[in-house]
Amino acid sequence: VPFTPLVFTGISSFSSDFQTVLNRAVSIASLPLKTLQNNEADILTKKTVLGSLNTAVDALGTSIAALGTVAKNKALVATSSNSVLVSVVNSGATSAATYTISDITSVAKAASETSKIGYADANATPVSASGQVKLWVGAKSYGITLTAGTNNLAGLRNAINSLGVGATATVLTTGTGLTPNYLSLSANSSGAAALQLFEDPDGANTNLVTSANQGANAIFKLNGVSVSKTSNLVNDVVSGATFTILGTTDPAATVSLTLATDRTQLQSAIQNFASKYNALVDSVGGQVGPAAGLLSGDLIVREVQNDLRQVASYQGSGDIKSLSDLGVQLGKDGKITFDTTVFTALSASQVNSAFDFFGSPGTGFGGLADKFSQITDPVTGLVKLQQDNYDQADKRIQSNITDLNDRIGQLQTRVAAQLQAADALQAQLTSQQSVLTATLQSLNFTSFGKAAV
Amino acid sequence: MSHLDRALEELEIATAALAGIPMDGLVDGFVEARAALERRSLAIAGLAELTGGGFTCSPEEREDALRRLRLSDEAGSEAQQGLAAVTRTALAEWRQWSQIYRALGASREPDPVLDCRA
Repeated sequence: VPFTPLVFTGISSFSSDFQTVLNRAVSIASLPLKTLQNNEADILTKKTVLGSLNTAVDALGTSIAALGTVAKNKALVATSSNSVLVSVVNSGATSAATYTISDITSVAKAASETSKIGYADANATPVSASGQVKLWVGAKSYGITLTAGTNNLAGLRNAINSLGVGATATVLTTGTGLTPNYLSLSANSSGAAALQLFEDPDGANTNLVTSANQGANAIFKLNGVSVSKTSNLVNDVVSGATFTILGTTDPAATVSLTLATDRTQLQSAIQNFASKYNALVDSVGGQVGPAAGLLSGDLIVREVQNDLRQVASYQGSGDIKSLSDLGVQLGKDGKITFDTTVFTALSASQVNSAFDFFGSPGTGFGGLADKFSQITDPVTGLVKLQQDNYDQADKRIQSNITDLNDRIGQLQTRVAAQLQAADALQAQLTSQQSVLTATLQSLNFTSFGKAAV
Repeated sequence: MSHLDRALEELEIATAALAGIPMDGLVDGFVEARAALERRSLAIAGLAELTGGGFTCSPEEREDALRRLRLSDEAGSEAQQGLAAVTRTALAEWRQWSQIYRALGASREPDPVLDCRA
């Protein structure tokens, strides 16, 4: 922002001289402003560039960790021979396997009953003659006492819900007939648990709700072994695989669940890694060399360059010893290329060796992800520390500016007032002196010899 | 006492008041300084009117009047120099501010206009 020239407009004969002095002072003052503005702009630009670099570093670290995860899981993919009846996902399996599901005779469901009769007024019509009801959730019972004010559907609903025993009551209003209000009672989770609601439990003991939709377990056989689960989502029977029962099977039908290596998973992960690696090389490339950006020479840039070199040159100990064995080549421009034909030609044994090479998110090649985490960690990472430094520098500058501005403002006000006062008095005094000089001259030429007036 | 004597005496009194203008506190004492200058302006105007067309006096009176007028003129010049010194001091402060500004890297733009005609 260019300095606006300071204008001194006075009425005395010294005004033009004042202006000359002020112009010079302001001209000198404009120099640090430009420097300061440049410094501030540099800080903001550095923060932006650093943010972009951080994104690229984080992306590469994530891709390396993903390679470790794929390798740790042996690129296992879970598939179902009939995903309509049973779906399956890999939830951490580390070895190939096949399981057979058969005899699915029941799908798990939650109990859901309705009052046998309707009630005229949900807030007034009594639901219990005795005022005593008992709720059964499976094998557990809970007594409820209804008072004159709560002996109605709404009161009963509130009493049940306040128990917090895994059953939820609601009032259904059909809007038709003389008794349009019903109580709906549902279990909060699936499983073979009955829901019952008995009126006058110590007397007539009459069930107020239907028994048509009681809860059920998922019942099936896994590799011929009978299994009964309260939920259709089964994650504690087969290690590393989570499957969901979706329907019942015919008596002789079976569903196969398979965990098998899918090398395309690893191929995609390598492809993604190569893409992120090259993106980071581009990002770093903008901060080094003759046309380097503001982060030239920055510690973080050097750290990233070093980490990139370690990634590209990483050496394993098995049949697959380096990225080049997998078709990943480092070019002269510092970028890598992935030849999928090399990868596709790998034997199953070599793919297994590749898993060992990549290790896991914390070991082998995958362990290199930690190096990038040390840079990008949002709390302790180098980038965070550097950005904090930038913020602190910016705050210091702003603080200095604020303090100085206050002083400058006070000084400027005082100087301006002094100049204004001096100039006004000077102008008047100069005018007086002119008249006085003229009077002196006039008196010099005055004839004498006459009486004084 | 003649009219000329009275006019000269008023000028001398008003001129003497110039010495009382507080050069160190020109802003705070501006009203008083302005009043002193106004009184002197009236005295000079009255004298100019008196010594205008058709004015005559004895040689002694003229010499005395010239002497006293010169003294008032010199006192006025001294006051002018005093005000110029105040101005120079203020501008020196301004320059000093600029140096501080440069040293500390402040960013404030100074008020672009110092209008002293007000």
